[in-house]
Amino acid sequence: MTRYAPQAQLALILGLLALAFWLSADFQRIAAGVAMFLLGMVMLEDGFKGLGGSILERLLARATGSLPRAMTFGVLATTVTQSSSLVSVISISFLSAGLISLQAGLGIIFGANLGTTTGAWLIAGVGLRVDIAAYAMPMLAFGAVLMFQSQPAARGSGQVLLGIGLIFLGIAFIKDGFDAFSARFDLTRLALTGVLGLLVYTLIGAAATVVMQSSHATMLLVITALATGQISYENALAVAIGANIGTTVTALIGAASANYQGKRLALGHLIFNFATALTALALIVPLRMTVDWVSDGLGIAADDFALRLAVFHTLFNCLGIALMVPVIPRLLVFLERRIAPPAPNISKPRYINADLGSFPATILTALQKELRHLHENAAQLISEGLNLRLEDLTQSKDIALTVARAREPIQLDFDRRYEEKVKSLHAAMVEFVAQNTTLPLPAPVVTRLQELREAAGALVRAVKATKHMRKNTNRFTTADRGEITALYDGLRREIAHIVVAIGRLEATAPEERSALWIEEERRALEESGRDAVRAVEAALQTRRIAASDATSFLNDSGYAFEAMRALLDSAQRAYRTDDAAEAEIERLLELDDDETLPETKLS
Amino acid sequence: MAHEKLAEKLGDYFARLGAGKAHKIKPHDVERVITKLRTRREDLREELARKPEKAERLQHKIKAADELIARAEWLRAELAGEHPD
Repeated sequence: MTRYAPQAQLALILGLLALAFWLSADFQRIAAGVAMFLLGMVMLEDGFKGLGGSILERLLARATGSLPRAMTFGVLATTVTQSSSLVSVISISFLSAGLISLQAGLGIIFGANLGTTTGAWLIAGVGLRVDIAAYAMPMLAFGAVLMFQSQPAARGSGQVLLGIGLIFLGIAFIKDGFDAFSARFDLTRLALTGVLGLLVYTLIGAAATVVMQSSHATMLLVITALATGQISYENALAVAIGANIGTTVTALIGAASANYQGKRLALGHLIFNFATALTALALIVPLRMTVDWVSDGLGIAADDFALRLAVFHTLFNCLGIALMVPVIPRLLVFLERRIAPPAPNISKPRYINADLGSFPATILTALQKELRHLHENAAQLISEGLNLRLEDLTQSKDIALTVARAREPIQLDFDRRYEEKVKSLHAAMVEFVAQNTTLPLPAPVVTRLQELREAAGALVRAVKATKHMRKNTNRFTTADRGEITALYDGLRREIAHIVVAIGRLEATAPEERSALWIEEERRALEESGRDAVRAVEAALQTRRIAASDATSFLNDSGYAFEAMRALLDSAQRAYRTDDAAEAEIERLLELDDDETLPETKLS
Repeated sequence: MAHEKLAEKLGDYFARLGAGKAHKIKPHDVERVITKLRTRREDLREELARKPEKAERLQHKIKAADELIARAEWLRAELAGEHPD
């Protein structure tokens, strides 16, 4: 039954709209105005994403330092873009990618709630007072011309202009619709007073916001209805409170597919808005008196209920922030307990998910972190495949000695571990890159995404190559069998050196390291390749190893060098600098395979 | 030609740059990379002095650092137009 609920809901909405259109032509005008307004909001949001998405991202990354900074960012970003949903989406994506803390996310959401009240001021203060449809016309024309340009900046500006134009036109349509409607109907006959009115109109406000998926649209409707005398001031206040509750449903729907951090943020948002709404309902009388006092102080006319509603909207959101900020530490504890992180299963992606949006910095950072996650899994499997413990290697002061002492076989189902910890993660990364390269991202970002995918592929090659060495590693290194054990220890030592060198690169501050250091490891590797062949030839000539063992070693050294080259290829791509110019230089200076391959390629 | 491969890659880079698919690099960007490479080479030399048992491996790395610095200096001169055609 619930399977068909969305279709039933849609049919009900469309049916009610058709009935309302049949009953009132003026309602068609109001509905068309709402449609234009919502379309304008979508345009504005897309335009800001294209035009300033990366600027917002950079600002957001800096807004994590403290709660006041995060809240200020939320207020300013929502005031400028007039889209709390855009700010919420970016916050959830940053939180999901591990770029900001939950506290910063809550601060941004609280700030965005306050920032969104500027919309009510704009509608009541400007939208209803001047002929904004006249401003809408040139905006629509200029916006349409710009929107069809190929440059992202021009396209984004066009969408923003079109969005504002449609919003203005929508407001004008709604205003005209209500004016005409007022001549024939008097909706204030439906006004309810007292607690019942408060509750019923709060529910109406919440329901309208859920249906239109926009508290801005609800506020526009109620302010216009108030200005044309179609709703009582008392009931309008309740609708404004309801809009704040309804908007959390949109956030909850958005968070359904988010990771646990996104869900925590959505729950925090829900708690904030409900607490604010309940407090506002409980304190409606003193709050209304405060609104009157503030409005009188600001010189707002006693009968200008539209602007007084804007004052109320701002005041009760300020009240919510004043109530919630002191309890944020307790709220954080509650959210972290209520929504626990998933049980650690390192085979599942930790950072990449479908909620990262189309923000280049977020996508790249999440993929880089996931690559490090894959590298951790791969390095662990490679080490254990060679009967070495990764933690022993990373803490070792003498790798040769650590390797020589590692004679205990490590019980390991290599294929299963590969499937669970490497292949599944690699597949998720390949899919993530494939999906994101279809987005209109800047060319250097697409190049970087492809490079990170290649780095992940190289890690998989390294693991697969190590798998082939597993049988003979167990045969020759779990007990000292003389020369052949020393040769196999040499291979294990070389791989361990590279794993440790990559770990050191990871530990070095990004501004101090260079992916070109990998070239030095590559040079050392070439020389060891030559040494390995010389050593086995000498051992064969002096009959210190059997010919069959020498063949095994030559085959396995081929796999070992393949694994090492793949590890170096991966690291070189993974640790590419974030500075675009330096990254180009690194790509130019790197030596190609045909410039570096040892003459003694083993197979 | 000492840096034939690098010259080829630079040609490809300019083609990508012309198509708007690469970031423009300037001689001072290369200078930054050279500084990092020289610092790293100094670190390797110090490590060599401290750990003579790793001499062979470290000498290979220092040689690679020398080559990278030479390539970077060639690139810087090429971008600055200091090489005669």
